[in-house]
Amino acid sequence: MLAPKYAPVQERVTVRPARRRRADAATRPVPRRASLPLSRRACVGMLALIALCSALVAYRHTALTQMGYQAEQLQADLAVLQRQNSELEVQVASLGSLARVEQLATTRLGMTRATNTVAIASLERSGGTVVAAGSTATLATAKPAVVAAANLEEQGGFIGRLWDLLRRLARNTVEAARSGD
Amino acid sequence: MFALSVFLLSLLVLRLAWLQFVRGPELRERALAVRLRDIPVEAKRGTIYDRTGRELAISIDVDSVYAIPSQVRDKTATSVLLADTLGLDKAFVMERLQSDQSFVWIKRKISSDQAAVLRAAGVAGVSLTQESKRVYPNNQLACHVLGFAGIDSQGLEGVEYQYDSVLRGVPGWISIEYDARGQEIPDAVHRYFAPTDGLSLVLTIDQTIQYICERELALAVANHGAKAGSILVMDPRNGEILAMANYPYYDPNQYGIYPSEFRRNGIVVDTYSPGSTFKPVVAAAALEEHVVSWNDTFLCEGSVLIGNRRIHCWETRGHEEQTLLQVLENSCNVGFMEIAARLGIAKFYQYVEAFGLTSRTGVDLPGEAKGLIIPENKAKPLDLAVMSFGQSLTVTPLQLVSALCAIANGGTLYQPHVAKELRTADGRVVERYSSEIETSVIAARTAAELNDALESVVEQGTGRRAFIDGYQLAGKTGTAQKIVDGAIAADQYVSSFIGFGPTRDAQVCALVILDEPTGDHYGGQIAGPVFRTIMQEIYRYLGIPVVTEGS
Repeated sequence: MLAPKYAPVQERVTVRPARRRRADAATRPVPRRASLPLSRRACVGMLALIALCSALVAYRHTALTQMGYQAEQLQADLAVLQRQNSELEVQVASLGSLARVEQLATTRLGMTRATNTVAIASLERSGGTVVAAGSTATLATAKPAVVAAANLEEQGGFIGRLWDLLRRLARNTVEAARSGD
Repeated sequence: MFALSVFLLSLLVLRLAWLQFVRGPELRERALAVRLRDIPVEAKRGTIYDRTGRELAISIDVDSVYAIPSQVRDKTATSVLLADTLGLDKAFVMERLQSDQSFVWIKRKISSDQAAVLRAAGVAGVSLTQESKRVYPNNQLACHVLGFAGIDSQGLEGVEYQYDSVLRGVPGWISIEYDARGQEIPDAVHRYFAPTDGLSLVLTIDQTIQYICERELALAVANHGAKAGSILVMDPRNGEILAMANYPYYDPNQYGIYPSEFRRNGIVVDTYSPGSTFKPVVAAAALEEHVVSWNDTFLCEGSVLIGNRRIHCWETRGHEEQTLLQVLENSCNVGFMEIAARLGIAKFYQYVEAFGLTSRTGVDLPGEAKGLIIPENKAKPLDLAVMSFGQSLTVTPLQLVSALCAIANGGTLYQPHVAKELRTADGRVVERYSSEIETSVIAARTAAELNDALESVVEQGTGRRAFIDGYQLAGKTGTAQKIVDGAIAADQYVSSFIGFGPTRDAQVCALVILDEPTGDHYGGQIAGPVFRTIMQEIYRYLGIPVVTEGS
């Protein structure tokens, strides 16, 4: 068996005599604690004040730094929102373009281009007899209140349209001969 | 020895004092300049509105990527990241990062998605800065008036160029202090010079009228197989341009992909022979000078011999005997040669000049041209005869419309313009624009008589195809043969129609030009119907009352 490399540390036991405090307390006068000198107290106070100020400064500094980070973050967020806002502005302007409005009006809403002249017809009841009163006006002057407007071109029937076509052909031929310069 | 030491020491002290107190501020600035780097902060370009307040050109905030090469630690990894994110060539990015310059752009005006990726990656030495990007939300609409702005937000054409100084604003910058290793010094000097945003510009252009004109022009060019076309609409009461369209169009958002000729604003920069649309000017001059009256008669036998040259009327069979009104209605060349002869060369030139056809109008658009005319001292009776029906002289469409506006409004020539107001971002009006030149060319009575005659041209003359019952339109047709290589081309024409309405209270004056149409080529036949359509829609849009019999 190998001997231990190091010898075990022996415990040191010190036996102290019991203090006789009670006897001393009875015989000796109670010593008065000597007060610190003024300069030392001022020094301690100063140190405490410095420590307090330092803590306060450190706290403020930390708070400021944190607020600085927050401000930076908010600025970055603001920049992103501004960019998104700009993109939305462009979208609004593009979606409101007249080309798109016209396309939607004609393809999705079934609207057609206004024709030149419409007949505004209103039925007036006079003494039990229905009288048709008609006048011509352009769409610009036609009032919505008189929306009994009917496009004669669409209501003329087959014969009427054929007659109109022939009339236009004749007129175009005459105009073609006259419009040279 | 002592004295020498004192002397040298004194010199040293003086030199120190000189450097410290006299040159101190300057040297301090120079030292700071070495350590400071400026990051540009672009000003936001002002918005361009139409006359009703609708946006025609706006600026949006976008990010641009820049690098400070000395601060980039891993250039290879950074170049890979940047190239992949921004869709750039890696070698190009690497070359930029290895540059000796203190500041290099990597890519400008990137998308918000690309910016988000780079912001999240947080690459050392690579940063984003906010820039302004020009966007034209209506794409091609009014492209020749607006022009476009380049990558540095500098106006390059149109009103973007003309009003660049007010639209652009004043750029700002951020100065940051760096140490000798090129690293930012913490808590060092950071100077921020805020940019001043540009002013907003309100145009006289009306987006709706512009749209109507562009739509009808594109249709007419396609229907008649024309090479190009133009429509100009002006308010005769004040010279405000309501619409200006030149076909073909281009999209200013992508101006780089179009040939340069697409970007040409022919109405302002090109001249052409006006043909018979010039005749109202000759008639106005003759009436004003009382060399003709409405009761005079003119005989047209189809041609007339001037010197040894026979000049034909467009109606080779002749118009027989006509009154002045009929000469206008028939657009008779022989009749106008007679009128010009009565007027004489001196008076003819006097009125051509008075109507502003020999000088630039002064419109607030870049590159304006002016018409060409034979010098007065070289003009011969033959030249006068040919010029009387709008050949052998050229004008810009803008000059011609300005001249007709003077007839339409009772005799006052206004300077045409496209700018109406300058405003701040919060809508406060800084400046209002109006016509600077206002000259009286003819008497109001002469103008009124001529206007009635031009209405008759539309009602029962060559302009019949522009007639709409109740619209009181006045106008004149025009068909000019093109000059190619100094000679009149046999089958190349410029067909046009110029007119205004309502006759007695003109609010809109318009010119339609179709360049080299195929098939029919008379102005009355192909340009007249375009004029009619646009006037019909403009009347409806502006709410101009229509007068019909019994209404």
